[in-house]
Amino acid sequence: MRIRTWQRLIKDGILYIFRNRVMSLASIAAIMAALFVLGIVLVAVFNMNHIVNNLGSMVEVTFFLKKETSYDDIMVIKEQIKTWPGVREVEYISKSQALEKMKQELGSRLDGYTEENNPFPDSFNITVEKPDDVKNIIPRIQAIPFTEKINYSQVVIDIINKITRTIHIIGLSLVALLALISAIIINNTIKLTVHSRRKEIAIMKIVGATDGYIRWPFIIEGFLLGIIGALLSLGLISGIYHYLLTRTSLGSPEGAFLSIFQLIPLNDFVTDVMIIFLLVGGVVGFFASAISIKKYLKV
Amino acid sequence: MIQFKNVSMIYSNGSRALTDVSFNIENGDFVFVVGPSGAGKSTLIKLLIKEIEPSEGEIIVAGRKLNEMKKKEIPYYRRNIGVVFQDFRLLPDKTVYENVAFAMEIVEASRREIRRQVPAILGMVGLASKANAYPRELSGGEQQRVSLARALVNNPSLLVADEPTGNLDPHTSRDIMKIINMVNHRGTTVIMATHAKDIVNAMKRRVITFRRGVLIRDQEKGVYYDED
Repeated sequence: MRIRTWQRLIKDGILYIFRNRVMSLASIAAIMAALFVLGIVLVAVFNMNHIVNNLGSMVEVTFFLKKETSYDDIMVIKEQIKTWPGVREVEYISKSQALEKMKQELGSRLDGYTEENNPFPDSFNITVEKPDDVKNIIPRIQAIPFTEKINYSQVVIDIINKITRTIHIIGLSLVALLALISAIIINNTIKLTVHSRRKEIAIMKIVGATDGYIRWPFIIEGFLLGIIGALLSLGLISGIYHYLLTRTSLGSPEGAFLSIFQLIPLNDFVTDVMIIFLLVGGVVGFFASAISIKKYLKV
Repeated sequence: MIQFKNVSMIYSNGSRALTDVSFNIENGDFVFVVGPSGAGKSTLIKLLIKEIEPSEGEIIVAGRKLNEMKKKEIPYYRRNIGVVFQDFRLLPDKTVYENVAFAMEIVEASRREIRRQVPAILGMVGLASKANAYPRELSGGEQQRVSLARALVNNPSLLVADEPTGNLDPHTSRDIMKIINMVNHRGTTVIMATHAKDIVNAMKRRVITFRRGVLIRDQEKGVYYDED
């Protein structure tokens, strides 16, 4: 087809939306509502994932150094550890610090101990990015000649891993399910707009329009309705989320529920939500009209 | 121009619409197809614009056998035929101008041609002043004139009209017939299905009469008999 024909088809697609104002508004509202529900689930899942990912920092590996290790060696080791993948933080606890700490905790029972007869060794506390990083870090610690003993809890790692995996699976299934439901609703909505114009399609055929010529404005219309619904829904979700962040205590560390339930910033996920919305809205709108118009072209 | 050779039409529900119909129509003819409801007039029109396929027989239009025409060719075939219906069949979301322009847009006419041709044809049917109105804002007669303008804007060699005056009062009907007659005088072949007895008898043109799907009479300068 010629360029001017494409221009006409696109113009017609846009025109149909405005000329069919009631139908278009109804479609956009339906698409918006479907994506809004999907959006709420997405936001919840993104926040849950964030919380779950932070659980990894609860896993600590402590290892103790042999008594004869020099301060210089310790500093070299510390710098080395910092370069390991999966290491979030390294904390060096000198034997005197350990003694101090234990004295505070246990009080007079340690009264006899001083720097000279300090029973505690030097140690490192490593926090990891995610629990699974521990198994890569352990051999590296073992490879350090000054290592005396390593302390970590496999049970905690396993539990956290289990929680993380379960939450991720639940989240992903919920998103997939809601995306599917939204797609079905959008598909039906677009089908209705095409159905409401079946007579026009028949007229166009009688006048001698090719199937392609009839089809494209409808596809463009379906695509645009999907995109408009998606963008409006994104605006609504962002607006509400922004309100929760700024006008309620949920966004600040002090107001966070149970100190871990703090809302993540909007920018952390708004692009992801937008992409998902545009995909669900636009792609489904496009194909829904392309498929449903087929039926009416067989006149 | 048009040849029907032993055409029969039985719909998939078993109802018989046409039985062994044969006739020829020459270039530039004006032919009425008459008969009571259910006589097969609309079936004949549908066969002509290839909305349906005959169960038996052959239809040839402008040298082309419709039976052998591929699905893809149908739109291009229809562009050579102007079609007018009893219920006008205008695009409700397009203005009068756009409805007529649509017929030109689908043949990929240039913007300049459209801007020249559409106002001219709207002037011919007497609707120049209603170009920006929507079909719903027009009277029945006006809508039928738009429909005629759309049918004629690409200069078809054949105009097919299915009860074009069926929804119109006698006065408006006369206006529509004047336009159709004028188009015929310019050389376009016209086939018009109708049961408007007054119009048929006033025009004194060829009349093909059907009854229950059978061609029972074919007369030059014919009339519409009451018993038909």
